[in-house]
Amino acid sequence: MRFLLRLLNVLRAERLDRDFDDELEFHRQMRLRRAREQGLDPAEAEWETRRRMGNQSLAKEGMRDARVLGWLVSSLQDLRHGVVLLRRDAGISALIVLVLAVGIGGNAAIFTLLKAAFLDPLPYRDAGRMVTVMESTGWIPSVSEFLEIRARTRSLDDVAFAEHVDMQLTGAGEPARVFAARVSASFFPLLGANASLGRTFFEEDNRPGRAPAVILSDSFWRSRFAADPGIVGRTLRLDDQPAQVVGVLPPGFHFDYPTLGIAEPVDVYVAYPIEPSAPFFSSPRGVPVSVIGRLREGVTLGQAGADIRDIARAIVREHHAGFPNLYGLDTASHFTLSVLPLRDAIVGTQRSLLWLLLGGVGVLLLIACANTAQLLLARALRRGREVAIRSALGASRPRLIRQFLLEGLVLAACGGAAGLVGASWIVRLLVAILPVRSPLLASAHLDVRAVGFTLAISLVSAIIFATLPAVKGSRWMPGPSLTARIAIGEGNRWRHAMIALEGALSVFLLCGAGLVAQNLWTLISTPMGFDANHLLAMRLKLPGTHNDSVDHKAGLAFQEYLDRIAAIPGVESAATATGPPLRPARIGNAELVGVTDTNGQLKTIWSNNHLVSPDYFRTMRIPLLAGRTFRRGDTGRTITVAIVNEEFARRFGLGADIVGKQIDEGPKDPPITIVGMVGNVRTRGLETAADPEVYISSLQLDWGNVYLVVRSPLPPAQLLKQVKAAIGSANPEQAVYGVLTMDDLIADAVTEPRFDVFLIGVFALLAVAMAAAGMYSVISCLVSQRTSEIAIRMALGASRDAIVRTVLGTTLFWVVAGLACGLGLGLAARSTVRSLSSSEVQGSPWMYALVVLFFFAVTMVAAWPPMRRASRLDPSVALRCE
Amino acid sequence: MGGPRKDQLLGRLDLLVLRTLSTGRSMHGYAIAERIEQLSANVLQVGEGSLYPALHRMDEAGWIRSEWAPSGNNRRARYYRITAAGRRQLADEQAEWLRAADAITRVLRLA
Repeated sequence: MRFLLRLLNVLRAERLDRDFDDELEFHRQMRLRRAREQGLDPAEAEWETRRRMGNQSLAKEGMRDARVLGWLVSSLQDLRHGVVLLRRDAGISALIVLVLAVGIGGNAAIFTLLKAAFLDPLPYRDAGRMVTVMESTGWIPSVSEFLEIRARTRSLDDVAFAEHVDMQLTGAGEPARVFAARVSASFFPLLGANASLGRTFFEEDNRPGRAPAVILSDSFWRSRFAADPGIVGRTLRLDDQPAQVVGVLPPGFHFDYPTLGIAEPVDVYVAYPIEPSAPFFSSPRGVPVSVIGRLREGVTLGQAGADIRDIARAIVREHHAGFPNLYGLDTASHFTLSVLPLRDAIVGTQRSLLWLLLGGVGVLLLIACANTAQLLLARALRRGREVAIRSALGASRPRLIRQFLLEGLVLAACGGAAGLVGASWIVRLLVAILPVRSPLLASAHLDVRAVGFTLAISLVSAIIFATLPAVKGSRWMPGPSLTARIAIGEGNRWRHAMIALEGALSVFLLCGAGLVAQNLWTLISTPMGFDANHLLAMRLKLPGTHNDSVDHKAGLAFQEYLDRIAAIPGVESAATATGPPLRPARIGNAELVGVTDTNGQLKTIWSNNHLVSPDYFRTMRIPLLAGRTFRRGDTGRTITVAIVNEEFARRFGLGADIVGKQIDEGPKDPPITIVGMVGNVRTRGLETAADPEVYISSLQLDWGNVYLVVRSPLPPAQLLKQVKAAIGSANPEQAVYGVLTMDDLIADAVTEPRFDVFLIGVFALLAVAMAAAGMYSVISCLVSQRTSEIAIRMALGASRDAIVRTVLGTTLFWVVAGLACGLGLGLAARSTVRSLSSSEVQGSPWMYALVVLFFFAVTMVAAWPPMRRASRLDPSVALRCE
Repeated sequence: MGGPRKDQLLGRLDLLVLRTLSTGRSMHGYAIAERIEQLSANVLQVGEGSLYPALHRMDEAGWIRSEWAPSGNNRRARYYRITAAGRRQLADEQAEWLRAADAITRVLRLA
């Protein structure tokens, strides 16, 4: 309280002064009156009073000392002095502030992202108690498992699920594909969301066999139905089924996390028709859904985990026969369920990206501090005279140190303020270029905590970079400090240490950047196995078919589209596929008739299964290595023929002789004959290893949800229009979506590695730029300090080469030392960088050589101007100036 | 002129001020100085250069309280009043002073 009052008094110094004056003036008046009463004449009274009162300003000073915080006042004086000095050196000060702003701003931005990921509350009721339920293998539970969990759980208050599905909206303008989420009725109450219009779902809405109830998202309601207030009660046609709108959600509500399997903002929510008496595990084991739940009050995550594991054991016990034999594994023995905090599930793999970013900006800030330290050290040494005079006048060493620290604080505060302004931009930029859509990170914003963090790191960096200059700069020696000559030596050693540190850290970052760049290069340069040029890809979903279900009509319907598309002039060929390269495919296991492993059992391998139309290989230009491709005649209700890839044959120890072998389909179904072998294609992302693939003709088995690929040299926009027209002439209800060229698709697949390269590259380049600036300033300072020495050497006949060697020698030694340290650090942190950027490559020696070369080139560029100045020095002019 | 004596007594100024205020009346700085001079029969002259800093220091320490109030001659003056903490301080300092004075007196008598 008293402290606060004294603090406050610092700010109202004038008011305080007036009070002191008044009090003393009162005293004077009283004395004057007394003197007059004693009979002195006015002049004498005045004189006597003045004599008795003594020095009034001394009294005032004493009073002020009692009332205000002395150290604060002197600090404010130092601060003012510091600002004046910094403004005198405006260029260097601006450079320091800029460098600090980059470092601090970067950290503030990453902190804001981390805060959004780990600290900011999720926009749901009791979000801290929300969990998701995962299956053992990273899969998500099925609807039937959800029902078991709901019936048996003792640790969860409430559970709900959501799963997404593409649906076709017809009967209201152009047919459109809408992104729908099918949910249980408990979904909205669990998340604490109410409808802004109408209602959310009732339990009855989940009963199968009735027209599905639909809730619209606010944005879809506005964009598609012009915010029609009478929408509730209207009937729409979704996938050719009537569906009744029962409500509209409020604008703020969203639950669209790609990490939870909801890849896009949801247009409509549909009540899921839950079959109560459905066979427990049909094959496939029910539709996988994202299950969310809320922990009961007071239940820990560990207790909930135990509860859920018990449920999983009960499921295995009671339904053991329902578990299929997959990939040669008995899935029942591996089946278990676990709970994960909702936030962890949402952040998902972005966690490692955030840590990578944090590491990058952290190193950058350290470099910025080292750079600032050496610039301030140079200035501190130049101020030797000022320091000497101040101490001669009675300033103590702590006081001098405090002044240097306060100057650092001023710089850090300016850098921090600028960084804070920049941080909000950096956050927006990063979210915009993030490789994965992330509503969680998109909600990142600067708030009190971010500002507090920025203040804290500004303060810490001020302490880091100002301590060395303060300690070194406040030391003085009576003789040399007061004469014009500044001693060279220790101060420069410290500056050299600083640039060595900067060099080491920036080489470290360069190594990291090199590693991810090499990874990207490997991904791009490995052959794809198909020709991606002039290929347009889009998605089709046959109206009226269920999502991801086998449909014999679909193959024929799509074949009709394909025939019409192939008739477009300029189109070479067109095909459909359930999973073209770089898009997820169905995985299954395969055995060959008569091929056994060492145990005498049929040898099983897993493979990616694709349902493709006859022209697929021609359209993709996947080479046929043996046998034949599919024919139009390969039709019928049963699968008779298949084509495999080279890797599939290799896994069975076969080559081209795989053609003619048969795939075993169990005792009930006839075997499938392998009629051809095609080249390997990189199917799963851009990973370089080939997977075994099995292709089935879509005329024998097809899904209602496929990719359409068209090969044509026509410009994509024109081609798309004609393709749409061709499809529309076959089926006016058919919507086309997800259009992109195969080149885009490949580019899409490398977004994440490219993002890593971009970010770490930017960090590394900034770091190298700072290090270069540091080297430049140190070398030019050295040259100007040693001007007379150089001149004397030259006058005595030293060659220009010798001069360059003398001046550059020490600096070069330190730079090389830094380079070596950085390279060591880079090699040591190799595996960390690899795991954080999920890359496989080992850094090649060439890459490291390139890093070293690049760093040396930058060093030379930084050293060139001052070295040139040194070697061009005119001895007579230089010596006369001294 | 009480030059040297005044200096010697500076260290005891707090004690004198507290004693003066201990009657419980609130007084302004001039009145306090007057009273000390008067009671010491003009031996102790309190200079403003030391009186006012001391008053403000004691105010900060919580021994006395101050407030502005109108005085007799149409001016506002700052009036000081002793607090409970001030009384305790006075008792301590007084006891210490008397003990020291007593000791010194003994030495002077017996030496």
